[in-house]
Amino acid sequence: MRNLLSAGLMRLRKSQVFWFGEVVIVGFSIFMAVNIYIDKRMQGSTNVFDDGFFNYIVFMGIILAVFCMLFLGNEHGDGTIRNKITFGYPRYQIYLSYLIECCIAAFVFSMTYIIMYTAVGLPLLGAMQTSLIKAVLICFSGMILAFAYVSIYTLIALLNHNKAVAAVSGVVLAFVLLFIGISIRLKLEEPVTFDAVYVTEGEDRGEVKAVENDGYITGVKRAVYEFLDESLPGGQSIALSGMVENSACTWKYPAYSMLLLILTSGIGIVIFTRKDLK
Amino acid sequence: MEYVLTTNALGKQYRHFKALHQIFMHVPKGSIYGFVGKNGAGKTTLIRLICGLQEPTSGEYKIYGVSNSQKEIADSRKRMGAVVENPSIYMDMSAEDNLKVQYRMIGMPSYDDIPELLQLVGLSNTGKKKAKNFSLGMRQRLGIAIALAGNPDFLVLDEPANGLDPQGVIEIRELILKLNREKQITVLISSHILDELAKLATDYGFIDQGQIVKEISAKALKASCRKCIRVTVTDAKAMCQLLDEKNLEYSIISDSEADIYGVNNISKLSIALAERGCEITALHEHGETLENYYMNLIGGGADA
Repeated sequence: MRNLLSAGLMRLRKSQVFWFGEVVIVGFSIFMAVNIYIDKRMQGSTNVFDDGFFNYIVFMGIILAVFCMLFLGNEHGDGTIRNKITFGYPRYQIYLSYLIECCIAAFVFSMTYIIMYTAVGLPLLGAMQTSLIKAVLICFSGMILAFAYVSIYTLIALLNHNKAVAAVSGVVLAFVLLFIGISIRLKLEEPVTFDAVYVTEGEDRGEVKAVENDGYITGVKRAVYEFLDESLPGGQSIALSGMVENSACTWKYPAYSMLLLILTSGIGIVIFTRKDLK
Repeated sequence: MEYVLTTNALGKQYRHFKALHQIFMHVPKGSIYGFVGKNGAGKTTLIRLICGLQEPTSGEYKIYGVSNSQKEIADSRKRMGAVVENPSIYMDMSAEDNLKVQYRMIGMPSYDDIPELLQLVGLSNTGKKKAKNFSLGMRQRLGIAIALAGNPDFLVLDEPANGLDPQGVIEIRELILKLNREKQITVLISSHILDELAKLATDYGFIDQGQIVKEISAKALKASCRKCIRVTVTDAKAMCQLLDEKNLEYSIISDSEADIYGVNNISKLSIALAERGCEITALHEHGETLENYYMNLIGGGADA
């Protein structure tokens, strides 16, 4: 396993896909910091450092989809996965080594954003207003979420011989997860009531009344929506990057992500171990 | 005889399709085992099984006496290298980097052997050139170099000459012979190019429709392929009379051509024919080739 990881990390260091991902992350972090600064200067908005600091968490789901599919897809495409199997490594070790390599890449991508955004954003936007403990907790949750994303993409990439099909599936899934997350959050953020203006005939001024919102979900349905919002990666991405006010539930995010990681990796290893490879 | 690889009633079934059925195969140590069969006969499937890429659905195989059902098969696999179908190389890396990754993967303590390995396969001057810019032959040789990392003593090559130009075919042949003779590496090689295989193999296994039809050594094959003399004469009738009188076996090819078996003295035969007014206009030695043998074995019409 140690040798597999050693070889995998060497491969990662020399991977064009990895370095391309790094360039994109660096570009994105600088763009975010400068964009917020321009907004602040030109439009006098109250944008602060925090507004862009956690944005990478949403972006990570997509960039990791592209990275994992291309990086792991090459193992099938170039046939190099065969070298490991032919040499006698157990399949679960091969699977885990790929998972760890991609998790390391996810860690490096995340840290690159945090460092670059801080380096550019701090002089332009000033210090962070969120408490350090909360920021660390969100970053930690974001990291575990990134690992959960990696485990989902590793499952797809390693169980699919066709690099192109795997790449498309991965990227589509990344967007689907995000859209599901956004849809659930929009549903949950529906107000209990909304104001309606009642105008009586013959009167100039209307009366504002609170009307019950039919779109507001309650009871078991709300509980299910809240569970999905907290457990699915898309919902977590939206919540963590937007720094949801309700920080009391933040501890659930890494727990759910970890559960997802274990579940998808377990399923992946079981199928990969039995899979006929070409 | 010591065998590197044996299979015992090995079978592989994909849903309702039997790709391999009751395969019995024996690859002697030190041999170059030519694995011959038409497209879809089951060559690559068998190679995938012994490389651990797929699991057999019945029977077993042994590598260095260790059964695939034993845990120790992983250790036996460390003694073999393989190139299955296409060479397994990172296209965006140089030959040296590809080997470095492989060396790390197999836990080699240093990269000291890499220049020698590159020299062996004729890729020592490729520098930083990436594998995607290599010719097909160079990629094939790099694939073999990767398979040779860790000094295996059993090499499995699936169609190594496929798609190569004549120069590439010769280079691969010379490399395989060198590995077998100088490093005593046992080679299992599947190939469609029978003439090329005939120049290499010390043993043959013929597979058809997922079953081994015949296993034979190159010596035994040579002995069973009778030599004859193909003559073109001016009077076939006179020749037949003479051959019947001399009790020589022959077969008529055309009105003027015949294959004569067991001729010891061509000069005497030529004089005897001349005395009967029959002249030899052309004469050459003719032998049954691996291709003829294969076609007879499989029953003709084969796509080997």
